[in-house]
Amino acid sequence: MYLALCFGQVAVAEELHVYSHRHYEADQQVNRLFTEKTGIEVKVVNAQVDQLMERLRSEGEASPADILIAVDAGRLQRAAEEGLLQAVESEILKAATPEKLRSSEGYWYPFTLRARALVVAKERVKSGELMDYEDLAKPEWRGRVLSRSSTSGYSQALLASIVAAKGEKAAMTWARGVEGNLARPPQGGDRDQIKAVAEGLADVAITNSYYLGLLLNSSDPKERAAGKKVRMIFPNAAGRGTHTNVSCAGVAKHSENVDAAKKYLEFLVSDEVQKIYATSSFEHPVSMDISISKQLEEWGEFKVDEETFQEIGKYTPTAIRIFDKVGWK
Amino acid sequence: MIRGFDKVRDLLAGFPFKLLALIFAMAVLVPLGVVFIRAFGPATEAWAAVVEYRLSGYVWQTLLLVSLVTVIALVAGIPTAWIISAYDFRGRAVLDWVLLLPLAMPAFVAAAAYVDLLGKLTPFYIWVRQEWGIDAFLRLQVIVPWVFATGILGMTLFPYVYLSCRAIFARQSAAAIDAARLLGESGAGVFFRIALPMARPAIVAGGSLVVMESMNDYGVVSLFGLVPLTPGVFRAWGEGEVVVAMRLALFLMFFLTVVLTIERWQRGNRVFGESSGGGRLMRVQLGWKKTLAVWGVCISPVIFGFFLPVWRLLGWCWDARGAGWFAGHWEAAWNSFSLAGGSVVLLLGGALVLVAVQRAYGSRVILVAQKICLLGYGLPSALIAVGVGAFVVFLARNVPGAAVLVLSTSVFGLMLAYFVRFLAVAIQPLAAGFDQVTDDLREAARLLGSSRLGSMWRVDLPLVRPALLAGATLCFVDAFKELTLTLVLRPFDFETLATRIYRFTDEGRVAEAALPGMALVTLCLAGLFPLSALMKRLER
Repeated sequence: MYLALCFGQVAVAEELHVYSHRHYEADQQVNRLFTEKTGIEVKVVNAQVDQLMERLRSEGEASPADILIAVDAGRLQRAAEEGLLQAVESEILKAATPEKLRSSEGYWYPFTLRARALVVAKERVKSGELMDYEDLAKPEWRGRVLSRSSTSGYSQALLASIVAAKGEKAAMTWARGVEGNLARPPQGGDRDQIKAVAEGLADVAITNSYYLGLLLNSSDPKERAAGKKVRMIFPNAAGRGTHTNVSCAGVAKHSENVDAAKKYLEFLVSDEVQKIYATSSFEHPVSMDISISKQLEEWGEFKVDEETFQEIGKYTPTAIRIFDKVGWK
Repeated sequence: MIRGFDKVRDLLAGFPFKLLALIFAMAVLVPLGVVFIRAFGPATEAWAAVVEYRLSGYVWQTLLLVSLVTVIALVAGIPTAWIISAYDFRGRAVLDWVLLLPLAMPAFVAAAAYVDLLGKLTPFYIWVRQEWGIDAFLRLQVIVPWVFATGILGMTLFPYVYLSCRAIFARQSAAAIDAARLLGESGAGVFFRIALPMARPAIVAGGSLVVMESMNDYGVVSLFGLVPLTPGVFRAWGEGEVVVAMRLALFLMFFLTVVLTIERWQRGNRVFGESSGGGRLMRVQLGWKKTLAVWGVCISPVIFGFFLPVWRLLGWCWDARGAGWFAGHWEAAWNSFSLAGGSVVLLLGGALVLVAVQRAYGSRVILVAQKICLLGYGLPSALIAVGVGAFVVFLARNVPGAAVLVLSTSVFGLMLAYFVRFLAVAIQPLAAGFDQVTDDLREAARLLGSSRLGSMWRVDLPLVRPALLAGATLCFVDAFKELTLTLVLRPFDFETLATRIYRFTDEGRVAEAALPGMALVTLCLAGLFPLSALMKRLER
């Protein structure tokens, strides 16, 4: 046991410990590539980010973690406020990521963008009929809208952005309206909502854009067929822009491997890795250069809602309360 | 003087075991204690919000779920028990066995086989929207998941009612029923006027098991989007709202206590149903038409609760043949096996101290500890989960060197939770086994010079070997298929077959859940043998 610990200490220089909320195949590919290029092995612990933060808290200084990865900026904002992360200065990271979508003090940086888009049935929704998130609350959409549960971080972040943009009262009216328009009580993930729209259960689904990419490029012909029956809308294009969250990474407070950790963060925003994400998990690159993926090019450019972005974390508790109040499951 | 010395010696006899027994009892009381202490601590803002917006929903959903499932289980369980007890027909012996099969189908595995059917209903929904309008469509969206969830739970749990009723039909009311038949009462009349009222304690006993299991379910209800109290507890726990989780768990505890109190009270009434004459009920021979009818009645719940899910799971396994087969599941399977195996060792060890050593020394302390340990089975799973969880966090933060026990990295909490939950499962068959060893055998061994433990080792243990085996199998199967506690208390990156099945189903990858699902069902089938033997013995 003691020997194993000693060897563990020796091996640390060659290893990077990543606590990550992400568990896609693209991530494994990226990690293998990182090891190939640098000789540094990447050890990943996967769990919900809240659990990972709890683990960081309880491990304290003894934590082996070098990097914390979340799919919601609000979570890493909170992690930074709690002192679980350390700030990193890097010209490469600064050059590669939009200023408004990263921590101003350098606690965390984004590496993919994830738009909360609307996916509509081609046959039943005319172009121009649905433009903004706000439209979803209108009476003509009764029984036609699908969304996942309010316990999902994606739902909470979207509503938080509406609170930030329009105030709590308007956000509550919106949430009440959309809840009343739902075609069924929320169930399943984003992919299930898109499939249900394709099958004709409802006409519009609120979903992250890349889920449609995954369906369209699935190995299952049924999923590809479902993907072809629907169309993507990036809402609020004429206004504040489409609510967009990020996959983001920060260096853990007690990491003793800061150089390697910084290298990993910079690697995540490199052209090579950005292309992997854009072409295999269909998330948008931090540069917003859609020309690197045929799928993203097909969907076209969209405007990111940068104004509310930094306030999502702050308004998430409000959003949860609103969901509870209006009975959005 | 000498008497005083004897007293002290008696008290000290088997002292380490008494201490151990007390520790076990403490372990069972820990989650309850932790929950009580924390729940009555200062309320948080989150609790006020839960009371205002969610609590009533949690409560009515729990009550509706439990009542619907229980009604379904009773409707399926009582008539089948009556048919098997009161009639003789072709294939009766086969049916007697077949009716137990749903016990080998964990409800969340059955759910995996049904959950995609829900998606296949879309054309029906669209038709309803076109023909009956949007309101009917929306109402249907709410009702259908309830039909599925309660149906699945009811059809997999009804054998509890079947088993307890069959015993009472066959023995206790035989004389009265035979008399009624002689007086010309029809089959249905005998059933409704005599057998049913007499079977009430058995119905309540089987029904309360169904209530417990459905209240503890997390897998099925969450897969179908229902939110009764158990998922509510876990949501609060996951959000770090410990006090909210504990208070909600106490609500569950309250409901269970009410149900178990009713059960106790009904068991007390049992005496009145006892027939004085004894003797077995005469079974009436059925013709082929009626045989077909009773087959239909008996086999339908088993079709829904066992054959249909198995058929679908097997189909998916067949489709996936060759494609890596069990490759992705080995680690989870190993985790399941080692966890269940470890639990068996702990549970049997614990049960031996509580039952065998108690008998060797006639110790009252251990007997009290044993009674306390039996309580663990009646605690809500959600309460055990959050109680043990909070206890482990407390240990890790406050006891030097205990940080390694923290939930995210060790199975300590999980094992403790299994211990609390399943100790009764080990104690009951052992106690039943030891009841059959007469005192004179043991006395004889002691007269021949064996020590108390020596005679226990050489005389009792060989005789109760079947009971030990039964206990071990039951504990193994119960731990192996456990989902609710495991989901909350497992370390990161740690999957058992059960959590894997649940995750795949939740992610809509039901076909991938099929193979681990079938593995689980096969193992549970092996557990049926000692279970039915034990049930029969407990009935006696």
